[in-house]
Amino acid sequence: MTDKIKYASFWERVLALLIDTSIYLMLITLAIFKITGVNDFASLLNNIYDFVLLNLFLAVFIFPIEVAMVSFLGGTPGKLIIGIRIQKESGKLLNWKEAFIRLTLGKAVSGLFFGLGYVWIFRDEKKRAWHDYVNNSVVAKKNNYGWIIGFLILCLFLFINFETVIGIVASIGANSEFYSSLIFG
Amino acid sequence: MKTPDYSKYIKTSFAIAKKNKWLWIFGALVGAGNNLSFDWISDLAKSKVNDKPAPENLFSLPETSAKVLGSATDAIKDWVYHVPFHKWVMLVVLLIVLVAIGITAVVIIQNWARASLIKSVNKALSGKEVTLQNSSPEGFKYLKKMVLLSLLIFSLTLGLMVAVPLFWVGIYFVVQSVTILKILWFIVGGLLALIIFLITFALTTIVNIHAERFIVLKNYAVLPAFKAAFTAARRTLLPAIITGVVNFVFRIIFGIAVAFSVAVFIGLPTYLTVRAASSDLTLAIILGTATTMAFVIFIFVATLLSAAVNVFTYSNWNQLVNDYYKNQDHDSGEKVKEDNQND
Repeated sequence: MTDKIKYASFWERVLALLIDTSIYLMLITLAIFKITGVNDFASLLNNIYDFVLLNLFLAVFIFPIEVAMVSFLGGTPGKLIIGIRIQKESGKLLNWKEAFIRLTLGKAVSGLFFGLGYVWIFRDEKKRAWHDYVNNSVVAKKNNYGWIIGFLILCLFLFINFETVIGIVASIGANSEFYSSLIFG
Repeated sequence: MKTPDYSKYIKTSFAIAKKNKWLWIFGALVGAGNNLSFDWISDLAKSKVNDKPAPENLFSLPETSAKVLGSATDAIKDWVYHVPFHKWVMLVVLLIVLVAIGITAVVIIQNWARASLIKSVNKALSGKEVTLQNSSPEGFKYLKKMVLLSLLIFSLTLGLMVAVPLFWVGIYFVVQSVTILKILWFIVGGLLALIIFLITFALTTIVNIHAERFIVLKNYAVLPAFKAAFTAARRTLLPAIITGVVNFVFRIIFGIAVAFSVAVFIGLPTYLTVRAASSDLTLAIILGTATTMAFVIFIFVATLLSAAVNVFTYSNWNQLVNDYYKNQDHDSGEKVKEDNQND
């Protein structure tokens, strides 16, 4: 059973991480777009307040959502899109406690010494990072061509992010008088 | 307890820290935990000494800023009153939850690292191989007890920090009608309170060191570990103080080495960069890049060495506690023999 597991490579895991990051980034850039789309002070303050709430909300709820996704589905959206799965050597998914430990303690361990624990994937024969060592998990590859789909989806998300940033710049340009009056009085 | 061989402790700990690099991970997390945990209490106490009075114009800031910002301040005031109440509640709740998650994560990481390090150092002392994989489960095994113990120690420390100044202030108010007594208590009582605080703080630290090891190495429950730690602290007071001093000296040496390295590898190149900037921009850019790289490498090496120093100190404590256990077993063995002979 153990011999049949194909382990996800460092680059596949990085791709999954980039997809996750681009999803969160999309939520944030859309909120910034909303902020810059107004030209009166009260609405601006309202939108900034909502932006702060959104960020706090993300900070509080993304973590339990990730724990739930890892324990029920075997990974965050990025990993699921690419077709890689966090599991035990036996093939079982992590329980919620193990998922919690992996995402808190595990990531803290891997992040030590400038992220040396992540680079360890290159060295380990089962392509494990230090956070995989912590609760004895592996990242298995379920789909050989998942990275192609992942790459295309990442491009799409990056394009949406790019378009939103362009929109933000255009909004600021359109409301330049309002922003100048805010800064220079 | 027999006088421990401190030079053997140091040699062994040095060898353990050098050989078992996996332990550095726990050492780094224990070190990181120190910065994130209850040290803020002592920092708070220290900061009081250096607190400068707030500048007088600080109190007139609202009026002066209102003059400068003019209508914007009024608009912000209006907006604050118009934000629905539920949004303020949401903000506060989210902040509290976020802080709670952060504290929980830090407490878990720190206690896991401590338990893993204590157990793994003992493994290494007995010549067994130590890896992240075989040490990590040990940390989880004792995590709950270690968290409870750290809460207990935290409560005690906090109680101590409140009780000692209260005692001093209380007596001060009682004797304040008599001027000589008031002055006398201000000086003598202050010193007394400081000494009492330092002694009890040191004792609590030693008890904590023993209790952690009773939990991890002897699988005690929290309260029995705490009680046993009191007895152990009493019996090993002098060796524990000496071990503490040895660890402290090594930390100081490490601190001096770090400060010296900063001066040589960061300070000097920075100075040269600043000097070169006025005459040769290309040279300044090259030197600036080199300094930045040196800084990054320095941080990396300093973190590694700091982790190794933590492993070293934990190993010293483990050896002291192990010697205490051996003596205890030996003493209880002798007692059984005596009892048998008496029978």
